[in-house]
Amino acid sequence: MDAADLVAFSPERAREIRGWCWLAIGALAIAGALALLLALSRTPVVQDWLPWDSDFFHRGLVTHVVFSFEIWFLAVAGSLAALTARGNRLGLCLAAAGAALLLLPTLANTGEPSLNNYVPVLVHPLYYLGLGVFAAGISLAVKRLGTPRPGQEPGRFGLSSLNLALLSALACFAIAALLIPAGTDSAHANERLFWGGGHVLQFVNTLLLLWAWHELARIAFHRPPLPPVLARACFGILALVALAAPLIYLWTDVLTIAHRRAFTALFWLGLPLPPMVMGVGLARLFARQRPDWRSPAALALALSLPVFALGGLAGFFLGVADTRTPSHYHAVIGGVNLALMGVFHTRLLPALGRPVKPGKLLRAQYLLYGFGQLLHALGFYLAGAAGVARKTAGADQGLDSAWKLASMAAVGLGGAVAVIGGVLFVATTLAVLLRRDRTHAR
Amino acid sequence: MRAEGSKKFDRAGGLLLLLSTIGLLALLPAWIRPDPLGRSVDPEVFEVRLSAMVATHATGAEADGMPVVRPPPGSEVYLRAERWRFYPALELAEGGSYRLHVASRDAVHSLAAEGSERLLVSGRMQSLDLTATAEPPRLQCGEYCGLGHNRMAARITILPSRPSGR
Repeated sequence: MDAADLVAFSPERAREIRGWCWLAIGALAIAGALALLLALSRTPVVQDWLPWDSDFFHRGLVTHVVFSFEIWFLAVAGSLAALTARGNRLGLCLAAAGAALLLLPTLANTGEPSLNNYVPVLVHPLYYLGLGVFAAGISLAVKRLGTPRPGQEPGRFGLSSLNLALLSALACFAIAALLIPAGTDSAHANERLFWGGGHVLQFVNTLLLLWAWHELARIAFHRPPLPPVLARACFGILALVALAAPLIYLWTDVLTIAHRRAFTALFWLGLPLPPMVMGVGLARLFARQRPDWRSPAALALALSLPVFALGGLAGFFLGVADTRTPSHYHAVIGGVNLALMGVFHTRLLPALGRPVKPGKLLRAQYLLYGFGQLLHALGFYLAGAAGVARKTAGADQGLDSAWKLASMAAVGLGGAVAVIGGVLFVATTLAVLLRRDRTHAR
Repeated sequence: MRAEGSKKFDRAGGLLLLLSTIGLLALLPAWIRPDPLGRSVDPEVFEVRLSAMVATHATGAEADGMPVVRPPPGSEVYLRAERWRFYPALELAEGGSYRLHVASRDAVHSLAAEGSERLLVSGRMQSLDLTATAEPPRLQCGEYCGLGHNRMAARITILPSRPSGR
């Protein structure tokens, strides 16, 4: 897609792309505001000044995770679908309605918070309805990407692979819902409902990341990180492994430890190779060519790669219930976020005739967010290795040594720096979205 | 010729990646072992045995609101998993061997210990042999069971063995 194509959208299509961008940035804004509050509530000394009780912390954490993880990532996927192929706005409307439904029990401070893995929930009918409506909207929107075909341009192949992986994730959620017996304890039921599909969603997110790396490299280096067959293999393998995931429900009982281990094994064995291969391709480009460091594409790639790599490495050395797990997922999510920031600046906003001015403010977003996430994730890893429990705040953290205190202080400082970078990105993007359209779109 | 060479490398790389992934996924069945089911147990009988152990071997001290129990080496030790603790607290002798029996009273928990994990469901008891070393063993719940899940670990203190004196 070149510059001429970027301004050739009909007004309707431009409105759809803009709508998805609003949903994505809005989700990030909500998640970011909550992240600041949660980071402060885990910072020694500062946490004693905050007036909220532990119930808000848990409800806030649920909403932060879902909006920063599910809604933001999948809304970007929706915007890429709208950017790539024609469709209608029904998917966007459903996705936005679903997100709004999720906020209702949060704002009403109701619904028991369940901090189960991948898709934490507030146990309230509106919340589950919101998730279902959002999922329906996203799958409708992404369906237009079709299925991957041999010989297809790798970027398009990647987005079609994402479509298949997303369908598989939704199938896993549906199968789990059917298999979990009525009357199963709520915590256990939610954990198992979202465990399998949550794992498959990470294949979707990795496909999104690899697509972003592929496209950003084409902009920063005027060449992709990998030759076409190898690039399609990276995308295709992730989709194939994701498509195989529902078989686990035939093989294991959904409520057993064996079932849990099967999805973990699928992760360990099926996920790391494609991003490692493309990461090596990117590293080679950086080694051989000097990009324009003022460009958002170069900044996004240069920071996304090490942050994601740190998270990926941490994923092989996790504990059972300590902060090494959030170290892993904050870093991998941070890596994806940096890449998607680049996608906004280089693809989505220009497509809407709203380019962002290069300069110090633009660079600051990447540097603050990237280095902040590195410090944040490293602090979590060191604290977890010393035994600090995850998903706790205040005295429950058990910070009874200088090492643990220092590690969690690094978490707080890194988190605050990253949030500043994130706030800058959200604020500048919102300002751009609110600007008048400069294109002569048909 | 260079372009042709690049194409061959491209295809070979893609094929190698695919075969590597297939090879890795072939290892997946080895990761999946059936859950150890444990033994069926009447919850009331378990509680009677647990209460008897506490009554016989309590030290009189308390930790985290639980009685501290010091069972002798070689004995049967009963632990109740409940939101969000393993009851009672234990003092074990360094070098001593114990047979641990763990059952859940309320929700579904798990016992992650010694590199293995066992599901704890009502009406079933999981047992494992434990030799107390100088480092307290880490026994914790690995199955999400609610907001306090991440701090649900057995409270175990190791009593150092006394050197033999004349």
